Amino acid sequence: MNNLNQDLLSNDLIVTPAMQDNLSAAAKWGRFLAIVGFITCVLMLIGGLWVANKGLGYFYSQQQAMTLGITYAVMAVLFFFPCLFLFKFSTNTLEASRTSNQDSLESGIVNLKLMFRFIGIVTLIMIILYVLGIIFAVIFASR
Amino acid sequence: MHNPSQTGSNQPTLSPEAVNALLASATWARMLGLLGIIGSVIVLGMTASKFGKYDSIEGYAIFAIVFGIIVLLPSFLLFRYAGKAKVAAIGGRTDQFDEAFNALKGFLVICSMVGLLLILAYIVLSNIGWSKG
Repeated sequence: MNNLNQDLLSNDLIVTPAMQDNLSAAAKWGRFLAIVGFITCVLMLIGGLWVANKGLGYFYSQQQAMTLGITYAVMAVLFFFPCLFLFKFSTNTLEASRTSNQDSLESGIVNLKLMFRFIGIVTLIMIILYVLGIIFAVIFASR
Repeated sequence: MHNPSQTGSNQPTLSPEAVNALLASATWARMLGLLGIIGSVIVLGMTASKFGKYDSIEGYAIFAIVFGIIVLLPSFLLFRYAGKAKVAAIGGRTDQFDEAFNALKGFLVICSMVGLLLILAYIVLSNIGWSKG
């Protein structure tokens, strides 16, 4: 893909005021969403710790409580990284729109790419695990 | 790294590296958008085929609208962002970048609203749970 666009991308594209407005608005909402995401991460982590420690009354065994608690904690960690990338995208883009700093703009857009890539890879892994789970369930059910 | 002064303008510019990063983000965003659209259409189709689970057509309509706002609309906006960003990056068209960033803004607005509502619902339901427990 890089080779294909080498000629087309040889010159810098000027960021028009309309582009800048849309990008700034996206960055403001992105920052808000990232903060909501960080809060959700903390809530998930607290929930996971609570279930692992004191959730025994709600479950049949300590093992079940621990499994659920660890699952919550892993989900919180997985959820943290896209929020971090989104926060970096937002703060860098907003800084770029304030100061016209080229490095900040580029860093922001790279973080946007990292966010989508991370979510994409995690989604693909989840889908593969789901499919494998269904296949194993069918195999074990047919025995 | 590129300096705006090199382009003879005070306006910031998108360097080739930044455009490439946008192109890569568009590729992943298109995949995520497509998965979201396909998943939500499957869920809505399966629900529509089981009208008996709902008391009335209105029940399904409310479900479809809520589900559409939570999953289908952000997925569509993500897909739109991906398409526009790809066209803009390959063709070097700033008008398409406008529309791409507008779609990205819409996607982030809806996700923010849904996230906020989910946290509020979580807090309200937790309080109800605590008061009953």
